[in-house]
Amino acid sequence: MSKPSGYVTELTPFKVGCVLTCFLGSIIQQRRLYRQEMPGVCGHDLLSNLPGPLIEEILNWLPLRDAVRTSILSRAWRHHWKTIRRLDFDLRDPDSYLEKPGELLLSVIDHVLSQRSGSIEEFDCRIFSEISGNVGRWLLYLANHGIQHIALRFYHWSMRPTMCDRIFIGATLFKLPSFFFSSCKTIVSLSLFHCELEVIPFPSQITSFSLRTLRLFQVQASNKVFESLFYGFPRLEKLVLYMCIIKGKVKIASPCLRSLTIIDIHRVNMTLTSQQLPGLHKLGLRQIWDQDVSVALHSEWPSLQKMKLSGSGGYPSSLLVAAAACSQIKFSPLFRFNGLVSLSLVIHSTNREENLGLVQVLAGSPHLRRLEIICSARKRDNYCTKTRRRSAPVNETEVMNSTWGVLKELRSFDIVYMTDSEIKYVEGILARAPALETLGVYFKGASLEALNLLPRASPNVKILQLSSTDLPDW
Amino acid sequence: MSESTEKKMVRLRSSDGEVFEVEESVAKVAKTLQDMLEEDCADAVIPITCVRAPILTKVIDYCKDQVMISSSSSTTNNPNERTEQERKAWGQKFMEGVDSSTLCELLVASNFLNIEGLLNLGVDKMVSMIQGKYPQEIRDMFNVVNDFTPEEEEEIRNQNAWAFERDPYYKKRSSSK
Repeated sequence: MSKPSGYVTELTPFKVGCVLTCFLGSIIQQRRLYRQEMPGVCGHDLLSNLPGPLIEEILNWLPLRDAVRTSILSRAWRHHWKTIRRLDFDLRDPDSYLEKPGELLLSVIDHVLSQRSGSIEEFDCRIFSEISGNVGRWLLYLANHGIQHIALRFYHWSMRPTMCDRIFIGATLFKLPSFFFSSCKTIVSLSLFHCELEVIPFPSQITSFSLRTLRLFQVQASNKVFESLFYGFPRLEKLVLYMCIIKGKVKIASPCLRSLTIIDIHRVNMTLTSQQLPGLHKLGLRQIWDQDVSVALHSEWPSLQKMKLSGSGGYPSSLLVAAAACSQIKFSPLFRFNGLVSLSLVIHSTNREENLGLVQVLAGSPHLRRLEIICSARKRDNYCTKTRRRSAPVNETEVMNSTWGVLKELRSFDIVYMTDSEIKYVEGILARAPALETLGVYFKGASLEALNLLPRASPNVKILQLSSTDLPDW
Repeated sequence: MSESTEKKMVRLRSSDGEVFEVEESVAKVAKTLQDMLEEDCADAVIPITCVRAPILTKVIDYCKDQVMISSSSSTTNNPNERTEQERKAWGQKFMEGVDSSTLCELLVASNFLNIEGLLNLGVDKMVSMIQGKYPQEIRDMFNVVNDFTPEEEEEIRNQNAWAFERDPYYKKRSSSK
């Protein structure tokens, strides 16, 4: 207790002066430091308050170039970008570094991979197939760093970047190195553009492969190699085939597959059955001719919930043709889509097979809740696919008189690009859907008044006129 | 009607001492608060120590809207693609006119309160603000001080020259020297 009082008594003016100058000096010094550090008008560095994981998250969503640019902001930011887990070498950025010749891109990718550290989630690059020598090395690097998502897009010198999604016939295709499939054990999704799959050496113990999503765009493969994918990736859930060339007869057998989309596929002989795809939830067959992909309609397919169908270039949709054929053969057991909830299709109103097929599919889908019909009218509409002959013209009474079934659970029905010749669909469906809530119409030549006069099974149908922004993306 | 008047209220205190009273359902949008409320400390005022009143106001606005959206979509019972689009447009509108300092505080707040939706909106906004900008523009926007020597900066730029091409701000500085 005596110490502080002694201290007070010993206080002299000299000492007080010293203390004061020290104190003021330190304040002035602090001020200076403050000014040096924070020249901004409204004070402190805003980014330094952000927690580390948040900074990582922001860097992960920035384009790679912008992420690398942060290395120059200040010392604190020097190494932040090196932990990013998504590497997207995007070519389509208008003033991108990648518009330069391909070799530069190769050195950029090499250099970025050599600087960064830690595990990597996503790798996306677009490069010329002629200078793809480094790809093998990158794939090894990715396999060793726990890669989960890979997209490799190859294109040809003569293809402009904007043409990436057009097929280039006759170009040399990049061949994926054979070690790739056996070394990338952590991979969850894989997208390949414009390349060739050769023999895939899957090891005998295959259960460790975790691939869930596979997207093949313009990929060439033999049927044996293609089928070995399903053997090698037993956990596959989503498969997209876009403009692929697969030689020979193919069957897709995958126990876990939930979503299958096949678009514009050529010279393929593929049959889809419910036995080989017991878990299929969503099926999209778009721009498909009936001799390329056929759906076996001789049994029930209870897992199927969503379907999207369209034919190719004016030719009818394969599934509808098959369904129409079912209606012709009296002895064939009726196929059923007992689980089908949502159906979306392109219809050529003058094609007899598609008209009959649609009615058949509706009759086989008693639990349908959502229906979307996109009307298409082109010159070749009434061609029969198999024979490339004109099919018989649509007989409206034949369509109206076939077995429609009752659409007990249908709630929402949209019809797009409707003309007067498609009123028969609306008439047929309105009369058989007691629970219908909304009818959305986008007109092309037909009028609302005609629809208002049609008899309805449901007491409260709201008829909505769709705007062009509501149209489905096909 | 009686149910709505008996709604449980929660009180939150911002770092600068302002107290906000909100419905429990609104507070529960924030996972951190939800956890606290479930551990039963509802009577006391919950201090949100790192969030200032204007920011907390914005956060509460977000939570209120979130409660409204979820209650309206549950009545129509088909959350289809159209409502998803609306939700996106709504998010953009919410973040419109938020300046850099508010954004940083919002990010810290939503991180602390663990509101995933708001955090994602904030990160998106941040990305769109930084994207395509040159380093000096970012420094000016967020008051970051360049503490590199000119030589160091030159060296780092050369390491990844492809990322710094055509930087108008950098050229200006070197020519003015």
